This record gives sequence, structure tokens and C-alpha cells, in this order.
Amino acid sequence: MLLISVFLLQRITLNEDIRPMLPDRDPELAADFSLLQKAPFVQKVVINLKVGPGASIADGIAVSDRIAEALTPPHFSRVVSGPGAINPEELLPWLAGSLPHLASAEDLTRMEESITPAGVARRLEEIYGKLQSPEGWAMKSLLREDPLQFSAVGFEKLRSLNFLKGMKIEKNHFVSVDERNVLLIAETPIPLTDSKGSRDLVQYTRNILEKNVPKEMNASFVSGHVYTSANAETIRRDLFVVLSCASATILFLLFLFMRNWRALFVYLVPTSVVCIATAATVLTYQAISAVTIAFGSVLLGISDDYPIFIFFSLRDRGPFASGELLGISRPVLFSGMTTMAIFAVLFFSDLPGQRQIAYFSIVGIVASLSFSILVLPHLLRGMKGQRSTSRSREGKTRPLRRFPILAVWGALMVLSLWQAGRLSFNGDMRAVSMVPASLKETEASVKETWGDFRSSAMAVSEGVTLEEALDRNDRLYRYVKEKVGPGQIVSISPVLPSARTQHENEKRWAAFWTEQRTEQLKGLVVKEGNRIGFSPHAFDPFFSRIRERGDILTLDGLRKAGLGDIVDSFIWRTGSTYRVMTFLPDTPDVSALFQARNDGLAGTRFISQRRFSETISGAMARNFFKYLLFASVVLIVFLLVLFRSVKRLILALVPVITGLCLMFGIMGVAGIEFNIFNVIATLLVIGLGIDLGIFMVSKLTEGVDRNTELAVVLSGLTSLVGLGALMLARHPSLSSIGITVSLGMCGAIPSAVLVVPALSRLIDRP
Amino acid sequence: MKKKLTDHLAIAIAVLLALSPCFLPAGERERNPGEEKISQILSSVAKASSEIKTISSDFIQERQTSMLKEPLMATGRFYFERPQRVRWEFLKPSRSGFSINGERAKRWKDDPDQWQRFDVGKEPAIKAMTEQIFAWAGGDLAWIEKRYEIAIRSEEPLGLLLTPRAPEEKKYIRLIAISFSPDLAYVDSVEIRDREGDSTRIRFIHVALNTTLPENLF
Repeated sequence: MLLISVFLLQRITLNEDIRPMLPDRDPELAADFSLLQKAPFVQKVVINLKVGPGASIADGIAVSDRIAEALTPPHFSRVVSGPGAINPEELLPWLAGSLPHLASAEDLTRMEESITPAGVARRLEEIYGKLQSPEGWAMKSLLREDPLQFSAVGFEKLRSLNFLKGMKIEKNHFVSVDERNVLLIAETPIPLTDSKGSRDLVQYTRNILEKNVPKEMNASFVSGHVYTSANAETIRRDLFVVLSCASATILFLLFLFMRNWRALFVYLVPTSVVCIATAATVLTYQAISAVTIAFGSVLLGISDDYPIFIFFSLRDRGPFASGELLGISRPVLFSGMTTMAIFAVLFFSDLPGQRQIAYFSIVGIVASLSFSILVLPHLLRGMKGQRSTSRSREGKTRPLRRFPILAVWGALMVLSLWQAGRLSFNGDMRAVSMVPASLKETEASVKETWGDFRSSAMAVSEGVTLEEALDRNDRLYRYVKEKVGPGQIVSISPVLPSARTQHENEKRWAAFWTEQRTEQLKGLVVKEGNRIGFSPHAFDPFFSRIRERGDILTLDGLRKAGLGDIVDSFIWRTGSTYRVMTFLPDTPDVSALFQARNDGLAGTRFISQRRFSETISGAMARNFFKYLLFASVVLIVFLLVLFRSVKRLILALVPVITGLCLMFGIMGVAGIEFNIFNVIATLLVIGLGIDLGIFMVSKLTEGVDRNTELAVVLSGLTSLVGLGALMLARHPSLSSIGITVSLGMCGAIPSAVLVVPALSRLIDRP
Repeated sequence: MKKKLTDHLAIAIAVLLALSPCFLPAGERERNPGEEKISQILSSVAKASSEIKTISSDFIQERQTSMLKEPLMATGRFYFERPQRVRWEFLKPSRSGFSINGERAKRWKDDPDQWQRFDVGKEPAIKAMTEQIFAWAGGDLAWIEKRYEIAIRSEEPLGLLLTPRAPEEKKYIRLIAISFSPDLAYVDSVEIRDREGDSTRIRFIHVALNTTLPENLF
């Protein structure tokens, strides 16, 4: 079996990304996550080139061009350094001609306000002055077509497409307002979930920057790939450290406590079990999560409990007949089954990673039980018995110490329960992701310079036709504009409204520009123009344009105007569904706008990292209490079947309850938030704690001796080592499990050895 | 955004096309007799102007457009220093101007001391104008010949007619007429006619060559 497992381990595919810890059963949540991944900057590498005091922004632009040239396939498919694709010769006439279809009621009001004799005179004088200069002369056609700057309305609408709030254009490059930073946005075909590809990409980008950036400048970059790479590298290092430390320390402890070369047989059980469980998981799931592998150290700590108990039982008993094994194995079997049942709770989880951990652990426990009961006794057959001479129902607890122990325990429990009330849930995946300090700094710097464009919330308007999706997007824009303010919204609605909205705009435009109003304005322009020196027909092109209606705006029209790249950030088509995106600040206020039922927003989905985290937190909290309830029922049923006594049931639960209370209490005091990995930690404390309880109570019925105490202490210590090794991990998900379970075990072990016997005496006192 | 309005127009691409002395090196391809003549004339211009390091002059600009009832007249000062310094300043009817010194550019309105830096790349009209000046002054004949078809309008005084080759430039400029001083050392006047029938004529008067120009002009 071991050989088969080792063979299977050759085909192991390690999955180091965070996907296994994202819900896959809730289609809504899965769809939200999928859409979150499509946010404009998620798949792109954003490079910020900071220009130091010794260099000018022109130097920075030149360096950014060199970098852009060096970033080539297969790592990068395209690098954008500015709005290069936009051709003003196409865009400006398009924008001016589009006004009848774009101008809203507010826009017409603003136009009306600007049409005053004083306003017109001032504007015409400006134009006259401009004609003297070369740049003014160059603009004369436009000045004739738009003397009153109505096209400014169109320009304002273009602002709604701008993601980068802290940006200005310099030499056709994205430059920060303070002219000390240049921005490059590089597209890569490498998926975020490809850890090896991400590692190569990050290294490649670093090399390019090192090669091209002079000393007086500093280049940094942010991208989801940097996170993927950092997480993968950290987890790989953690796997080595955690598994090596746990294996070596457990072996040392076994020899220290057993003082017998046969401890090696005991050690072989958990190590074989980890191989078998890993192989079985690979066989079932094809790929195994790195977190699951790291969980191997926990499995080492759990699965050695059974061989340890068998070892000490047999040493206590001395030579045994085959038939006697059943009696020895009964508590082991029950303990293993209880732990399995508790892990089985995780099969109900929405997180594939948690289900995989459940499978991995259960296979491991089954294998451990099998080896411990069927194989190990035969390997230990020649071992000499060391029956303890003193047996008592209290173990080492003397009557005089019993009350102080119970008093301290009771006080600790009350304190812990009180502090546990401060515990908070955090479903944010970033809280359990590896984020190196340097990356945090870069993120903060990019955010400060260019705005928080990488973590916007998204509202997705869907439709089976583009018109339907655009129509919903228009309704959404009108709704959020009132509440959020237009400057905060990045939307395509002002530039490409639905056909319905465009027809409404056109009607309004026609109603506004009546013959009478047009003639009045013409009269005013001619009169003021004549006074300044303009000919009567100077602005005829303007009045012709006002009367023109033009064609309705389309997606193709926007592409021809040079807005193709921008449009593709807003409109996607997946199968037969069109999706139009609107980007909003990811704040609680904005999130709240979408929580209330609003029929006007039918067909629009709101997605944000904040909301996603809140949803996961909510699901996590609900599931957690469901798990706790289910685990409690399982425990009670199993313990009742095993002990057939409520008193013993209560005693066996003492380590579990103590461990959990202490864990939650210390987390509450220390401000450690409860994350998705702590759900596993809780179940571990229950599983490990109940093992200790069952062993202790089983032995109490026979009278506790030194072997029992050794078994309990050793199995508790090895579990603590297995879990404690996780504390050495740098990855927050692993260290989080290690820290919290160690806290729990620090309560469970002493309570099993000290409190259970003390309580046993108290409960059984006549 | 208002500045972007200028982006799509290059109508003033050659406003000061021949403000500086120029020389045109002979090409290597075989030339027809007309081209040969032009080449000889341009060589003469180049020879006459090769000693010129600085130019300073007054100018009179006359703009005629159907937009205005009367021609728009303006006067000002022009300064050039090899290789990449230029100052163009209107004095009447209103004061404004710009100066270029290599990569640095500044402009002003009303008071020259209240100047502001600007990006020449964002002002296509000024960019085109200064490119022309520097190309001619730097003797980049290939660039000039590539952009314009050159014909002789008159030999004494020398007058050339330049027609844009590039379709983008053709959209705005129909013809540029340049007249040289009798000794061919500097440009006497330049006239630009655009596609809409409007024109700009600039005459240079009180021309001084190779004087020392104050550093703060640029």
C-alpha cells in the first residue's frame, strides 16, 4: 500500500493558489468571483516609474518607452503607456456630432445658461484674440463649428471613462499630476492562477526593470501575479519547514517518552499515513492544494495518537492474546471514528479546499486506525510489559490540589467565555494571503499616486442583447449618480447610452433647439460678431451642426473614434449574454445602495471585494455554527454509545470545551480575527480534544496509571507539535491554523490530565 | 481638454517654414532639368545662409479669412539662434508669444515675465512651426524635400512654392510661398494658403543677422 502511494506521489500536482478556499457551490458567489477576476486591472501588470530629483519627467517618459519596448511576448502581449489608440482627428468631430444623442436634460440646462449676450460676446472676443496666434489659427475650423464650446459637454462625458484619477497626459503618456511618476499598464496572457507562470513573469519583469531603470529613478510594479508568486514561494518553503520540523520533533518525543526502539514502529504509522492520504487525495482530486499538504503535519500529530495509545496499552498490559486486542482497541476506534465524524462535517463546506482537507484527514485516520489496530500490535508483540504499580481514579491529582485546579480552571473558563464575545469574523481572502511588506508599500504608493483604481467595486448590467444591457446600465447610472456623485463613477453610460436613451436625448435636443431659439441665438452671435469684426457667416457651420441629428451612436462608432480599447474594458460578451460594467468606490455606503430591493436595478449585479468578503464572512459564520452544532451532536452520540453514562460524557468533553473556550478567549483578547482557516482549526481542537477526553475517561474507569498519563500527554504533545509546526509557516493561512489550534491544545492537554481526573472524583463522590 | 482641440489640426504646420536660411544638399538620384535648377538654387541659398548663426527681425502678420470682415493684422518680433532656439512674440494688437530652447518651452500672454512652461508635443501648431525652423536651419534637406514638392516662382528675387506631399498636411495646407532677400541670406516673406481659401502672410523687416542675442530671450 505504501509502495503504491509512493508511486502515486510521483504524479502529484501541487495547487498553490487561493482558489480552493473560495466557495464553489453557491453559483451566485462563484459568478461574482469570476466577474471580480475580470475587473480591468486584475489581469494586468501595473508598472509605476518614479522619477527622482536628478531627472525630468521627459527622462522618465524615455525610460518608460524603453521598458515598454522590452516587455515582449510570451510574457506580455501588449503594453499601454498612454491613450495612444485615441485619434483626436476622429474623436473630436465624432464627439461634437454626437451631442444630440448624448446631451442630457442637465447638459441642455447648462447650455441654456451659457447663451447670454454677455457670455456670447466674451466668447467671441476670445476667439478673435486666438486667431492671431498659430495655435488659435490652427483651431479656426473648430472655432467656427463650436464657438460657444458646447463640445465641452462631450468632453465632460469622456471623463466618466477615466479609471486613473491622479493622471494627466504628457507626450501621450500617463503621467502623475505632480509629474514625478510615469505609468505603464502591461497585459499578459499568463493567468493569475498559474503559479509557475506568475513566478516567471515576476522574475522577467524584475530583470527588465533592473536593466532599464537608471539609478535616479525607481520602478515598482503591482499585479495579482506578484501575490500568486509570493504565495506559491512562501507555501513551498513552508511545506519543507513545517513537515521537516513536525516529523523530527514527533520522532524525538516518541523516543523520549517511550524509551524503546519500537517507538520507530509507532512513528512509521503517522508517516505512512501521510503518504497514503496524500496519494489517495491526488488519485481522487487530480491536484492537491498546498494547504492540504501542509495539513500533513497536523495529520502526523493526529494520526499518531492511536498507535501511541496502543503502544502504552500494550506496555501496560504486557503479553496479550489476539482476542484481548478488541478491548484495547475500543477507545481507539471510538476516538478515531469521532474525529472522522467531526472532519466529515467539512464535506458540507462550500469551500473545495476544506472538503479536500476533510477527505485527506479521514483517509489518514482510517489508515492510522487500520495500522494501529491490525499491524502495530504484532510489531510490538515482543515488548516487555511495564504495568504501573499505583493506580488511582485521579491519576496524579491529589485531593488537596483538586480544588485549586478546579478553581483555576473555572476562573479561566469564565474569563475566556467573556473575552470570546469580542471575537470577530473576517472573510477577506486577502487576510489569509501572503502579502510581502514591499508589495504592500508599492500598493500604497500606486494608490496614493494614481487613485484606488485596482480595487473598485463593479456593478454589472446584463442583457441578452447589447441594447438590454445598455438600457439597464443607463438606469443604474442614473440611480448611482444621484447617490454617489458623477465624479466617483466610471461608466460608459454617458458616452454610449442605450438606443432608447439616445432617442429620448435626441427628442429633447430637438425640443430645445427650436427654430425660434436657434434664430435668436444666431441673431445674437451675428450682432456681437459684427461688433468685434467677424463676418455674418463666420459661424454658419455651428448653426448647421445644431440642426443636424446624425446617426445613433453604436459600439462600432466608438471603436472607429478610437475608443475601442476603453470600450472593451466596459462591455463584454460571454456566450449570449452581454455585460456592461460600471465601476464604483468600494465603500459601505455604495454597497448599501445595492442591498435594498430596487426593481429599477433588475438585471444588475453588484460585486465588490468588500461585499464578497462580507458574503464569505456571513456564510462562514453560518456554516461555522452549523458545524459546531453538528459536531456537538456527533460527539454526544458517539460518547453516549461508548460510555453509556452522562457523567463520563461530560468528563470526556472537558478537554474539548476547555480548548475551544481558551482558543476563542485568547483570540478575543489578542484581537485575532476568525478566518476561514480557523474553522478547520476549531474542528481540529474538537477532534484532538475528544481523543484526549476519550483516552482519559476510558482509563479512569480502569484507574489511571502512569502509562495512561504518558499516553495522553504524549499524544497531546505530538498533536501540539504537528500543529505548532504550522506556526513556523510564513503563510498566514498555515500559521493561522497553527496559532489558533496551539492555543486550543494548550487548554485541552492540561485539562485532560488535571481537570478530568479532578472532576471525575468530584462527580463520582457519593 | 480644451487644449486637445488643437491636436487634430496641423494647419499651421509651416507657418514659419522659411524663416531661417536654408540649404539643400544635392540628392544622389538622377534629377530632371527642373529639379537640377532647384537644386542649384537651393545650394546657393545654403551657401549664402551657412554663415548665419542668429537672426532677429520684426514681422508683420496679415491674416485673411472669410470669418473676418477685415484682414487681421499683427506685428511682433522674431529671434532665432542655431541650433534649436526660437522666440516668436506678438506685440500688437495684443501681447503674447512663446519661446523654445531645446526641450524647454515657455509661453506667455500679456506679460512676457509671467510665462508658463508648456509641452510642445501638446501644441501641434507650434510643434510643426518649430520643427520647420529647426529642419531648415539644421540643413535637413531630405526632410524638407520629403514633405514638400518644390517649384520656382521667381528667380529674382528668389521665390519658391512648396506643396505638401503628406495627405494629412494636404488636408489643411494648399500652398506655401516663400520669398528670399536679394542676397539669399534670409527669408523676406512667407505666405500660407489653406484649403478653405484663407491665408496668412508674414513679412520680415529690420532683419539683423549674427548679432548676439540675450540669453534670457529663450
